[in-house]
Amino acid sequence: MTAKPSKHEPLPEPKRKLPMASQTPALARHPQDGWTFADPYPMSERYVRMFHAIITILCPPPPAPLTEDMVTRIERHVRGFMMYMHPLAARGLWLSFILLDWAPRLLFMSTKRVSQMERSQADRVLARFASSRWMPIRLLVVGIRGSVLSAYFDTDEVHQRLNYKPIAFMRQRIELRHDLLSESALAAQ
Amino acid sequence: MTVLAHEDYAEDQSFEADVVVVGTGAGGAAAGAALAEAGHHVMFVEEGSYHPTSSFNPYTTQSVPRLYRDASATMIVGRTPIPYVEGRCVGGSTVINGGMAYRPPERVLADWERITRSSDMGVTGLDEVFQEVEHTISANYQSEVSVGEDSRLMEAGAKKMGWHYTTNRRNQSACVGANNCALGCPTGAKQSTLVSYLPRAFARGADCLTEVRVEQLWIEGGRCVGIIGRSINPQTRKADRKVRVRARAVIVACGAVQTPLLLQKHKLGRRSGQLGKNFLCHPNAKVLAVYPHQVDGYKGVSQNTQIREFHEDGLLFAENFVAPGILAAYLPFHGSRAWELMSRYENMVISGVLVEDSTSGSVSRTMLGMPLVRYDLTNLDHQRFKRGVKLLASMHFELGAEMVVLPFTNQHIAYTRDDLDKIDELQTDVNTLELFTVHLMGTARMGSDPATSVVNLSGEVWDLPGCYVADASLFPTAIGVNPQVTIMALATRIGRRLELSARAA
Repeated sequence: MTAKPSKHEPLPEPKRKLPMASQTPALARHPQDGWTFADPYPMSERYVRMFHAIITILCPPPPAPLTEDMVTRIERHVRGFMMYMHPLAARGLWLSFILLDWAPRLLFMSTKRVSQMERSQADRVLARFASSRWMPIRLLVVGIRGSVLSAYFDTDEVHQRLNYKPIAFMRQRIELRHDLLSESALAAQ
Repeated sequence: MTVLAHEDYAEDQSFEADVVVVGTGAGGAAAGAALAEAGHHVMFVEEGSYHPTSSFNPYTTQSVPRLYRDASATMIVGRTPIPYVEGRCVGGSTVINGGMAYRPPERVLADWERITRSSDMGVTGLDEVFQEVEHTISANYQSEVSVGEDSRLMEAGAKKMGWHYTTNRRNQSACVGANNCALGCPTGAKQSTLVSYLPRAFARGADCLTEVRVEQLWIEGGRCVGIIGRSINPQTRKADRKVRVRARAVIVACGAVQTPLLLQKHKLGRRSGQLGKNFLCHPNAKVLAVYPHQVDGYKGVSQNTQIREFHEDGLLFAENFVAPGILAAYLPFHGSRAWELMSRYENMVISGVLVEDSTSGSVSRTMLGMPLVRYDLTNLDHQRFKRGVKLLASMHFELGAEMVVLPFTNQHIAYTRDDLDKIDELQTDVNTLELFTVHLMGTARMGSDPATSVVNLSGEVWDLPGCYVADASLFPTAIGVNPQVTIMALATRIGRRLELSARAA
């Protein structure tokens, strides 16, 4: 392989300043870290509705928190994740959603698709797939379940119910470290 | 220091440097820092973005896509499939690892000395560079204030069972146990390369091109003279701008999966046939215990303790508490059963069994450019996992755990020790084992003979002068412990040797 030699050019001025490892005790995303979330993986309205139905079945029912807004956020997050996957993996996951939805009909288990079933029936079907002896069927559920539940258990509503308060804890730890470092700097002086 | 991103590049952008380093993780950063400190103009090229310490937070949905390769949707195929994770950000996997700072056991280094036929690769030969690395990343023990209840429980369990355990040396400076290692340390205490090696390199004039995926090496007259890649638009994720860097030497440090993938594109390593072979991964199995009392595992450092009683048999036990968003990705249930289990989050201890590989797999390039990583667990390792899970779960029951979630698809819950006795009876098929891994090693092995290795003892690819490898793919065998210190040590040495040969030239 050959390519034509490059002409030496000076580095361009960066368009944004990216500070190194500042000790800013803020937990919010750094305003200058340059992070832009990718647009969600493209899906038609029809598939989005199907996806919402599957999310609702996979997520815990009441008394666990689950609102329409949470379902939409989970859908957005999963579709966002898909943009960071290898395009083939993202396409594979997308096909898994469709296959999982159609699996009960394809396997002659029901006349309904998963997204059309009552929760209790869908629950049983998914649990059966998840413990299937046939690995591709098992993996079909595992990948989708993992991505949906990961997004669900990452919401503030769920954190609150789990008594998981990471932000307050981290803030306190950042301050503690700041104090420790100040103390050791004073001692060194 | 200049850190550039997608928006800074022209449609067809060219750069020049003394050395271009592909990757900014444990290997790339250490090799690059050694060269920058020797006065060379180093240019790092990183596929991920640059995220400073202040941007790290506990949200999986925000952190995983920006810090992990392919948003962690990466899988080893074989008997049984194993999900794996790698970092993809400035700092690489050191930003998301547990921060263990272990040297390989002496028996491993003795093996390396024998295999490579070089005393430089033995215990004595590597001692000095290990010391230097440990100093740079501040390898030391945790302070009392940083240790969490889950670590204390593991320690108590080891004592009760009469097992040998050690407290871990970790790459940290004044760690206060924020327990966000897997999503980026928000206090800056974990000495990932983002806050250790890279600032040193930047202070000596190194530059970093972020959001550039290296697609091929630039080869002229049989010599590697640079890299050619494309920059990824962060909004659309399309690689739409061409970026080239011409340099006197190229260091490839993309990890044990991506490094062979890049080299295979140029059909290198043919003489030995070893490129992409010898893939090692220290598979792990999760053992999750639920206690009747509050543990609050997220309050305190992850992995303060390792149980090493069975290390000689290739088994290590450790705790590793993670955010609910990460844990949920591996839950064996959905719906109300998932909630039932996760609502006990504050009572959980998440521990794991790590097995030292007794076999190896391979990495190859598929037609569509996706890596195919193959690894078949041996019967010996299957037995080791069964034994390890049984022992670790027994320890939790001995400490009073109410139930233990096991890593078997056909046997997920154990309520008593008697349930553990069924493991041998039920676990006859390796495909029912649920594993994951984070330690990927050994696909471009180092050696002194081009017939049996991919790179020489200076890290240079035997059949491509000017191209060096400096990451975990160099390992001749599995090391049985967390690999970052070993990667940094080998990479530092490769950087130094390259510097010396450049000076001599």
